[in-house]
Amino acid sequence: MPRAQPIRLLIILAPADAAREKMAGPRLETVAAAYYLFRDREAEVVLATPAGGDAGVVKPHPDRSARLTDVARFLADRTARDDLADTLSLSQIVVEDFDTALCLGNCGGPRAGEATGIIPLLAALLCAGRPVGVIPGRGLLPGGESAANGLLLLAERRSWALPMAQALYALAAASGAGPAR
Amino acid sequence: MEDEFRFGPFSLRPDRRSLSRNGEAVPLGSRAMDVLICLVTHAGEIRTQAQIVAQVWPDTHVEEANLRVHVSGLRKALGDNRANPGFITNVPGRGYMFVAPVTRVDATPGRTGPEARGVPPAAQGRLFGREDAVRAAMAQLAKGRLVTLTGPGGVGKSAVARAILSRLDDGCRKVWIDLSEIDAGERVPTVAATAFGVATRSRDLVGALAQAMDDVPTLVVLDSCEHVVEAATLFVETILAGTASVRFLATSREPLRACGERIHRLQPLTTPAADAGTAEVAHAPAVQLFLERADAALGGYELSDADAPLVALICQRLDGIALAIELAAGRLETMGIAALAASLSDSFSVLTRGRRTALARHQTLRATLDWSYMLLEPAEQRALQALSVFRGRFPAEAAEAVLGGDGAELLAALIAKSLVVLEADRSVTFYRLLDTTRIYAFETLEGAGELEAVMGRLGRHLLGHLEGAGPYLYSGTTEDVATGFAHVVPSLRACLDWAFGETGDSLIGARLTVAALPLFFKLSLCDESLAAVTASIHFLDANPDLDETLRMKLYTALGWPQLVSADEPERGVAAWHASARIAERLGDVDHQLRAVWALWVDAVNRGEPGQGLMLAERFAGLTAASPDPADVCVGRRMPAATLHWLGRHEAAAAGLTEMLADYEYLPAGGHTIRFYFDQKITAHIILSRCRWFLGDEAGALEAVEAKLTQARSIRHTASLSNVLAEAACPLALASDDDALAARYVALLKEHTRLASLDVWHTYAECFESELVQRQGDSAGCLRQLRPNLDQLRSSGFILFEPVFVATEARALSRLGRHAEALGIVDRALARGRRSGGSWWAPELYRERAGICLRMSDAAGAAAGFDAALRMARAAGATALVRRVERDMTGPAFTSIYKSQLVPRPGRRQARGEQEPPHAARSADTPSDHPGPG
Repeated sequence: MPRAQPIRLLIILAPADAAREKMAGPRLETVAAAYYLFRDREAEVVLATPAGGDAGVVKPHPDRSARLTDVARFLADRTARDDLADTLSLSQIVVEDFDTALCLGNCGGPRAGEATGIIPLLAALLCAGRPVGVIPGRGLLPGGESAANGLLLLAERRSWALPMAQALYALAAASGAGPAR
Repeated sequence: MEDEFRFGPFSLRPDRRSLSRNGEAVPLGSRAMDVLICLVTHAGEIRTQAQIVAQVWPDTHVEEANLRVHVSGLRKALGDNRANPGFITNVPGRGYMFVAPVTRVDATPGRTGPEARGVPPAAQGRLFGREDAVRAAMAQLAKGRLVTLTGPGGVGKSAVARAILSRLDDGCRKVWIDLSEIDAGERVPTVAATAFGVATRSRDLVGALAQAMDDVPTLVVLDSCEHVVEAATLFVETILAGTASVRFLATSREPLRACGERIHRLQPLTTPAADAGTAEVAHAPAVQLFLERADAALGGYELSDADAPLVALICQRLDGIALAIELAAGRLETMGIAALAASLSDSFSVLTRGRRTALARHQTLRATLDWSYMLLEPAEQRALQALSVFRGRFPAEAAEAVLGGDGAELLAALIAKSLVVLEADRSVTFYRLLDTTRIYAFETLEGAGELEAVMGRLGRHLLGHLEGAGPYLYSGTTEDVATGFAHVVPSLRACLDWAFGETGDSLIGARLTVAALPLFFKLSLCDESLAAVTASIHFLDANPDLDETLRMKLYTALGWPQLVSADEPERGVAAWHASARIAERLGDVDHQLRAVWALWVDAVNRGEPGQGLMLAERFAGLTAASPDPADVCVGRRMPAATLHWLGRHEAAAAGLTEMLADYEYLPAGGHTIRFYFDQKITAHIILSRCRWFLGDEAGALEAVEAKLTQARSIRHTASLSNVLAEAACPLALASDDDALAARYVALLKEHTRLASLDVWHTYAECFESELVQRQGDSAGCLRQLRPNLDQLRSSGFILFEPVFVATEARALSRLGRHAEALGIVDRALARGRRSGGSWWAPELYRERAGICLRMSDAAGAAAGFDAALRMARAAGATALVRRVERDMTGPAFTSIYKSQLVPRPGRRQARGEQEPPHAARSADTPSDHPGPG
């Protein structure tokens, strides 16, 4: 049975942590890879950050950008750039509207008593049975959050963004009968 | 004739359907505008309600109450009141009358006053809910040199920037640069250069710009950076690093991420809470904007309790995005509030498909544009698409040319729906599509497959416009041309890009290029001219006989000094030869003259005055067939000037004096443009030089100063630089007035830095090296002189080589490198003998003598002085004779003379004695004087 609606991916971008210099924001090449993997399969992609607005992703050096196909495409894509320049805030996200989610950037570990923010949103997505990917996933498992009904994919390296996006797409597609045609 | 009606602070242009107050557009619904036009055009007469209704609603039955609503709206817009009317009075039982005094003026384009360049466009309507943002951004501007207003499209970034600019009163210069007018990032420095009057062929454009921008404290608004953000960032960072007093206020959907950037994120306008009461709803900034636009559209609107929840819903639905709210309110003329809310709701529910997650704001705006577009009549849709070919602002006649038949009505309809905005500036009204709207409309135009047809219409309109303005573009001052035509450039650029692109019409492109050349040159857009000329020639060369006159004109342009860079001088000569050949075949005397003139200039610059004389005579021969009597004068100037470089100063001066006397009686014409320089000034330059050589140093310098003043007064940079490079600098130096020379050199450097005058800039460097030498720094002199002299040689500018070689030789000799010094002097002398360019030979001989003196070679020195004297006397160059005599009576020569008892040529000649045979021989065969090794 065909899906009534296209697959919808939520990309959550964790901002740089100014207090801890090592935690730079997510990189454009990682975002672009996942973004186009879904977009090219007629899926919808929504970008969100904790406070909304410009995601502050780290762009590669211009010389390198030209060689990275997805980055060059993203930089020349007005809609994509608008998506990234004015992301939704987490409070505007309704979990049920998404088939899957990918969190890029250091989302930190779960903090006790935290009701809003990235970790509670990821938990809500998992509880709703949505497959969720996190890069880097250090500190989330083991012994932390329960994946509940959802499937939590963790990876450490940015280079895993594309295979993880492929896996998330496959999982989302399998949960229905594929995107609307 | 286009009429403009002025009353109080207002100006009404019925043809443009625009009303402005003190130059700022006053938004008015189309019916209210009709009512106003009806009343103003019959000012002082009572117009009955029936008359007004018949004029405003010719095909519809309209209740009297409806007219009352519009009159009330009008009064509000005019700031009038019923009790004490200043503009519109009600005559009970009869109708209405416009009572204010009305002045009717002719506002035909070209008769209106110029608008200042760089002044930001007038804001339309008021700014709501932005007080904090304006204050915060201004505070940031006081602390940092780059503030970026970020936020999604349509949120109102440019409006806030305009408000900041109008409020900032710290005395700084304010320049507005609209980057939405360009497509490619590499044009960012070009548009900035145009805004600051810097020519785009400067070797270091951004460096030249930095200097020009840093002259006075300056705030530059870079509006709409997002599509060229990387280039804008690089530009801003470079300028900030190279300046001290320049600040930037940028607007961009995303931050520039430049060093030291302060970001102010502009939030959408606050919308009322879901459960707000009418008063609270009316107070929310998003609603205030909606109400203002509703008021204008309907000719008066007050928020009722019934409408308040609907208006709140509309503003929430539109996420407080200013442009979306304006688009929605623009529909009220044709649908009520409830219908509007329902229509928007339907449209968005399709988009969200029942999802509750918010839409990204750019999606909301896009959806609003879709909604607004779908509600247009098909003719209006086509009109909106067509208008998207314009970049920046455009006047009504341009819009009508692109829209065809009922263009004026369609334009008015789109204005009423907020899809086209109005920019009234003094009495000239322009229109524009906001960037977001334009991009949207352009996509639909491309989608409809209409781009070629509409661009073709734009191209033909621009062609007619520029061809019609041709004489004015040539003769007008740069400021006036910029004022009247700068708005054409962005659309022209877009049209040329299209014409020479894959699907364009290259023939239109080539024609447009030729018509646009005077504008490009006037605005110093040399790189763009070159690109367009090259593309045009490429096309016409590949399509022989398509339009030979056009091809000839393009080759003529290609040979223009502005388009010939120092790196490839041969391209200019080849272009002129090509142009001359085509002109001869077509029997086009004018273009033959231009080509021969240019070839003559080239021969003289290459230091080949013998060849130059032949070309000058060829030119003079051609002038017999020219309809322009001034050409005969030019034909007399050229041989006379050439004689000067051949060392025949007296004959040159006589010829030039005669030519100038006749030229006085000729009407001023387009000679500056045909022959690049002001012919009178250039004749005076050589005449001053002749006077100096003939011994009238004071008179020559005085004349030069007068010509500098004149060149400044006609604001012709090329003529000014010409006076400085060919007369002021060299004559001040030759007169040993170092302070004056330093002033002239500084002026020349300054003028050539900002303009695309590479060669003259190099001249300035060389002249300056002479001053460095005179200050005793021979090594520094060589360091500065040699690369520049090499540059001149490789560019084919050999004319002044003897002067600079004299400097170089003296510097070398002072460093003890006598052999080298003698070698370069002798080579320069040999070259002069071959080419006939002997005007500076006496000085080279004098330098040679000086080198010999430093080598304690009394015989060599005597021979040098002897040759210098003979040549200077033969040429009647009294000034040079004096210089030789001064050196001969100086202590250096006198002491050597005494110690070696060498015959003193001057004295001997003066006494009528025989010259020593070796002295004459030595001078004529300089290679007999090898250096000491």
